Amino acid sequence: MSNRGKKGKSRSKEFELNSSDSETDKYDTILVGNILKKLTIQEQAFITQKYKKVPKSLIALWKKIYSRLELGKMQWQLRGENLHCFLKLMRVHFQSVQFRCEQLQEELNILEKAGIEELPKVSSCVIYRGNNVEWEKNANFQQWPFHALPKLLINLRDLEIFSPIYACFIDQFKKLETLKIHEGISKSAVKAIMESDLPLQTLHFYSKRLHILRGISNRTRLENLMLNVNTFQKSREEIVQLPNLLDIQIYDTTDPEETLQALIFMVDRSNIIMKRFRLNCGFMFHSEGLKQLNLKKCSALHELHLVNCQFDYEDMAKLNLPVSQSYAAFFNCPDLTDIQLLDFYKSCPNLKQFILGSCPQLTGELLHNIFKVRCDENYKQAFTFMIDDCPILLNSYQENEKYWERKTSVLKVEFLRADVAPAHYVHFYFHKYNPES
Amino acid sequence: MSKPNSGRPLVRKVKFLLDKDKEAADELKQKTRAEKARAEKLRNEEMLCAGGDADPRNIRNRRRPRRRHHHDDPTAEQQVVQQYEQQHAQLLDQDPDHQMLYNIFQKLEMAEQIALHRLARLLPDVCSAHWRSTCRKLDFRVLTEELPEPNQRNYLLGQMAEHYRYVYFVAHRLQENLNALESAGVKSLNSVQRVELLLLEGEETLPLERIQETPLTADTEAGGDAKPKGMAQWPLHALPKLMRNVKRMKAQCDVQVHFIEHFAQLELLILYGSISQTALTGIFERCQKLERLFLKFNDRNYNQNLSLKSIRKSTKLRDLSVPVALFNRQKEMLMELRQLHLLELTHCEKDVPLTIECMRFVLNQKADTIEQVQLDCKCFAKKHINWMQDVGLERCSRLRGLVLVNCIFGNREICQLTLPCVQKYIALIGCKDIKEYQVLDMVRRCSGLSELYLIDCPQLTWKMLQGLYRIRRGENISYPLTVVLGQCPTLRTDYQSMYSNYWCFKLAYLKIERIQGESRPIEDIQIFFYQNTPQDKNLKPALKKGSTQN
Repeated sequence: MSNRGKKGKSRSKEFELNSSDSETDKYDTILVGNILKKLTIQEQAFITQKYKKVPKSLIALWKKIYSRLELGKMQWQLRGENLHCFLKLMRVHFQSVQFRCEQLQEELNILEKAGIEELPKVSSCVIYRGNNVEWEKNANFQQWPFHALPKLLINLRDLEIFSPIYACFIDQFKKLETLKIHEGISKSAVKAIMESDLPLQTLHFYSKRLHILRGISNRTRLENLMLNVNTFQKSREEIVQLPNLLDIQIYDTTDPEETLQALIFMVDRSNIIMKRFRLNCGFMFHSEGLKQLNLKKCSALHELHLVNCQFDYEDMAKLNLPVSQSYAAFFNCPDLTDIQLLDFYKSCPNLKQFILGSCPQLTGELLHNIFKVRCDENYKQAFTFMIDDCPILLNSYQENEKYWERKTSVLKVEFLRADVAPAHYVHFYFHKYNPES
Repeated sequence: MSKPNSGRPLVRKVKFLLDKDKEAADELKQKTRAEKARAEKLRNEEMLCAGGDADPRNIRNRRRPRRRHHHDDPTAEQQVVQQYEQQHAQLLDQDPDHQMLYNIFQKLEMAEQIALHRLARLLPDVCSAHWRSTCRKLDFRVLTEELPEPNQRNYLLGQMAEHYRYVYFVAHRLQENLNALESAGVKSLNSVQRVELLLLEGEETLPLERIQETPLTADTEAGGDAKPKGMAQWPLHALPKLMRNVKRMKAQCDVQVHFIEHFAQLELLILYGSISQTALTGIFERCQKLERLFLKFNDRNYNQNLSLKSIRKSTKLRDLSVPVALFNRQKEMLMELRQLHLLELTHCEKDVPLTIECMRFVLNQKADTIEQVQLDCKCFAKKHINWMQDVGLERCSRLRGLVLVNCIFGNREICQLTLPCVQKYIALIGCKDIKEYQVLDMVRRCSGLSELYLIDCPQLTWKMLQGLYRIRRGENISYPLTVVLGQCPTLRTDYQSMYSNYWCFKLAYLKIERIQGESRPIEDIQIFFYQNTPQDKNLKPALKKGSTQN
């Protein structure tokens, strides 16, 4: 239990057994004495009375503070034998681990020297990269340390990697559910992942590279997907076959044509199961794109969220917008007018709430009109506006605040909460697959 | 380490692929978990022995199966373990001891925490050793602040009882203090050598008016008389049994009961409060090792009939400090004490003529055995400037040292003042109006003077140094006159500026030094007598080392 070989002196045990023991004893005594000197008398008396509880208590404290292993930071506080001791004691308590990819080899060395072969409770791992600006030039840094990770982190569920991957090691994690890759990954590695039987639920690719995701339809547990347009286009047939897919985000919408094609395909194939649709229309030059999307087909849509959209003073009906949703959000739509919104409102029978952010052309007329229409029909719930940064509209509301306060049973105006933010990418949410329906 | 056989798992693991079977799988897992829990409990109850702490053992046992099966998916067994670990963790969080331990750990660095984990078993021994070297003093004034928890206090007292050297009690709370010791199970404090019974700030001994109201007889019975509200006396009886080896004692409170006489090893006793006659007599008779007795109370207020009649029985008594009034009453008897080394007269300012008379009496009897005289002349200030003549100080023929503090010389000649001829050193402290010619006269009068201490005498200048040099050169003595300066910066800078040119050649006659360290201020009047033993040639004045009150 005690690490006797701490000072690194070579002891010939036959001759010096007694003296070396008493030396370490003396050293230990001095160590404890120094610790006691830091405490007040009350603390000294207390800790001495409860000395039996001290080890457990220490471990409990470390579990709280250091449930994440970050060797980089740990090395500032502990060195050498102490670090090994700490790692051994906490081996079964670490719940997540953070590596730095440039120092991965050193960090694995430390773990090995400490005699640690596994970290059984670690469920999440992040491999960071340093702030090295010349990242691309050093692209040939070692991949082979990665191979050691699956044996080390046997129960890993969540992996996030910030460095490019060439080695095929991810498929060795038997329990991996979440995989987030920030840089590139080689084809063979992707192939291995797709062909393995990892219970993947979340798969995010953050870079702009093209990844060939052949065989992704085998990943039947996949629920959450994030990829760029090119990757999507290459594997879109397989993607729509995924039975449990709930959430797909598509970004890097630089090529408008491609993007539009991808979106049209997606809407086409999955219109009935779409639950929420968030679209950043920045890539579209005009509202023609919206027409082509033909979102009308989405009959089960709950929420529509359009950002950076141009409406070109078109008739809303012609834009093929969906009609089934309860929530509609418009952010940063510079030419959205009262009339268009009113038309839109009239065409959507289930609508409960408008979320409007940075739509400068909207005025108080909108409120009055919608109020009139609403009053004619009998609705139980009030219609809610959540507004941010629509100056004319807000001014008008605030001038007539007293008036509107009396009408809150029909129409309510609130200020936008911070947690509702405009979408950055294209985000599809689907209804949960219910095999009985 | 041999792998223990924890028994076969009760359920086989089955893999489930489809979602809808997941619920069924969960149910099954729960069932097995419950069964497993029951089985574990039974097994552990068998292993429990009476009165043991069950929890750690349970966790230890359960950890073992975990290590073996870590390759598999979380089996029912493992889940049981996890459940218990969670419960244990919750219990741990709620335990206040652990909270306190956490607070302590926050003070330590990581490396120290690791060391503590490894070496926690050494804590009791190291702590005792640490206390033995640092906490030699038991001070009841601060004990409750430092250790508010009685548990910890008792632990400390129990550990350190045999090692305390000094104890400071709070006089008015003596009962509580003794209670604290008793509840800690402390029966004796055998190593205690010094004990003090202290009053806290703002506490008085007996109020003055009260004393004058109640008529007192010389032999009031201890504890039984109608003394007004003072300190409870009866706890004092417990002290001698508690601390058998006390050598020095100081009491600021009143003493009426006979307890001090039971300290058989007592060598030094200082009393700031009053003492009853019988107690004092008892001390003289019983404390045979008593060497130094300081009665520092104001005799005017207390017990005007106190008598030192048994003082002769105290054969080893060398140092005695009494108020002037008390001395006056007993002066014949006190002067007959052959072994007296130090006589101190206190509260002189209350009756200055009496003081002068007493001093004259002393000199009448023992002028030629006086070795050193130290005086705070503040009390002689206005009306008794001629005290030296009144006292007849010049009769001290073998005086080796003279220390005058706050002395006012006026503009008189030294020969008028009848300064005695001092053999070794003269110290003038705080004599604000002494002038150079007076100092020179002094030195001229005391030929063969070895040291001259001048502290805080602002009127002296470098001309005095010149004069001193000339006097000494004329005297032709083998050793120089050492002038020790304190708080005379101008003199010192003058000397130093001329040192390399001039004074370094005169070192045979005149040497200037600086006083080292702080010296205790001199109060009252102290007269040192020669012992019958040969003189101590290295007598140094009370300036450099501590003075009489230790």
